[in-house]
Amino acid sequence: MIRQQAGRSFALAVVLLLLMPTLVLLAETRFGALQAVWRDTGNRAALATTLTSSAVALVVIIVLGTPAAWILARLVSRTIQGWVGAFLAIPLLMPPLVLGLVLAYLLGPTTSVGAFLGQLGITPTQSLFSLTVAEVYEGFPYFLLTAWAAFRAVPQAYEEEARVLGKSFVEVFQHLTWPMARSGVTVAAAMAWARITGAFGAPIVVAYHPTGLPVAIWIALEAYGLPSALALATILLVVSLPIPVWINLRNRHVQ
Amino acid sequence: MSSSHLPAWTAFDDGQVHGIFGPSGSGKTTYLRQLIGLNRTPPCYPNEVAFLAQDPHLIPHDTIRRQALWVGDQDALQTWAERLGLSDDILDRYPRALSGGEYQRAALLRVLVTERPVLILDEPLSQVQKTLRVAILQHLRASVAGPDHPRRLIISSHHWHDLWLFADTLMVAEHGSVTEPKPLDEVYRNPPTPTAAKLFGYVASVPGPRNGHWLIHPEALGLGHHPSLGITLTGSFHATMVGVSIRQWTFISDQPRLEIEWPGLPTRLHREKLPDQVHIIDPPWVPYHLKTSPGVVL
Repeated sequence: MIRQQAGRSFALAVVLLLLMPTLVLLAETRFGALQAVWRDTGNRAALATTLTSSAVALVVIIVLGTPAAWILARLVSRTIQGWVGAFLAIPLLMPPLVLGLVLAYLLGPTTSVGAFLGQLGITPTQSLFSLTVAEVYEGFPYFLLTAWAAFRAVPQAYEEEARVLGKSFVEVFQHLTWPMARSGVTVAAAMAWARITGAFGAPIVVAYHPTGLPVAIWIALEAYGLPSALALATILLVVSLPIPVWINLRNRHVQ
Repeated sequence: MSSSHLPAWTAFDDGQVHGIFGPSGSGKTTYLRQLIGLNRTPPCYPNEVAFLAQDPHLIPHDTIRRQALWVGDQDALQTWAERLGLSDDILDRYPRALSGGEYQRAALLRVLVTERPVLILDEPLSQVQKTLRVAILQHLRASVAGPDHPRRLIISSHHWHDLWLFADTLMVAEHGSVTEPKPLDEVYRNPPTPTAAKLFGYVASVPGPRNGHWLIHPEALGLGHHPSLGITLTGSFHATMVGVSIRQWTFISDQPRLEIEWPGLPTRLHREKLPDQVHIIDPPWVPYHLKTSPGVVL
């Protein structure tokens, strides 16, 4: 009984320790400082930049990632799935700064990719385009691995039995596979959204301008010090986290 | 396994119930999946076949009624729900709210409402209580014989009794190979494998002609004189009471000694009145030796 009590206290202490930065941030942010950073048009532009590029990046990730996750879970052999899973750890764990440097090189005017994009009329670096690309790369592995696991968690026997009873592939996907994988895929999108909006390492290299919120926070820290950086950080937190938290609460993917 | 024998579609006649019998792990499920084409890449889903898996997966987020109507129509649902003893209350439940037997019947309902001509059921009623199981099998048997769907039914079971009552032909599965479907009594009279022989109730064998063996069934051990019947082994019985319902019988002859524990044999025989001749009534002659089961010493 006492040991159970002690165990519970320990787990709660760990949870509190993890929530501590958020609580401190919310407690320490002064309304005046928030008003000050909000009045700054540059900061509001940074918020708009982050929201626009993040929305586009999320759409790209979902549109490409959902079919890819399904194909990995269903049409790829177990052995190859194992290899793909192992190799996907590389983009997942790659330091964002390294990713930024590679993207800066790849999108630069000296490479054929950069030149080709230039011909299409796209500014390949220091643009909304390069910011979005950097965000896609930072968020994609999280989405793909989570959504893949969500599809894999649907036992294939459900699909097979419906197919045997005459249902087409599309009908089975709509009526069975998707409803069963949906909450997992939604959680994957929530995780990707949090990664995207907070992306800093890669964007600071390839998209110092137009400045998104994470880079703006860093600039504020350098130029005005901690209080205004913290106020801006609160805005980032409020923008990026409520949706994922709400989705996690709804899907209860821990339970 | 590639050398194993497996019957093809052409072995199954219309208007009949084809049973497949064998202990678990004998290859019934593998054979049925192979027959349909589910183990091919890509899998084959024949239009005329409806299949009920041994461990069915009802859609967890749909009521039984909705998922049955997803694959079949209202009339078929009405008819079969009644025959399967599924009330409106059960039909409007989700799969997680069903008991094991209700779940199996709901899964069978979902397969039957497709009204497909060929029905393949893998251990469909193993968790359904006996009275209901027999009633359902009677309905299935009647619909196969009648003008309705299904026209042809292949059903696997480890309940020998179910197949004995309701199947027209029988296949026996063992070690991944499956015998051709043959009329039921023919299979019973010639059990293709020792395992099948034991499951049919044969308890032992005695050496017969041409290196073969005669199978002995306790119900086919006759005391006294039976001139019209098959072989005669001379010998004598020695009976001792082991328990209230189990008597141990010792059969002594020039053949090897045979002891049988069998509750159903007549008991009012006294040792001194026992005949010295025992008839094994019409014993099947098989090419294999049947090792004795527990309680039988040969």
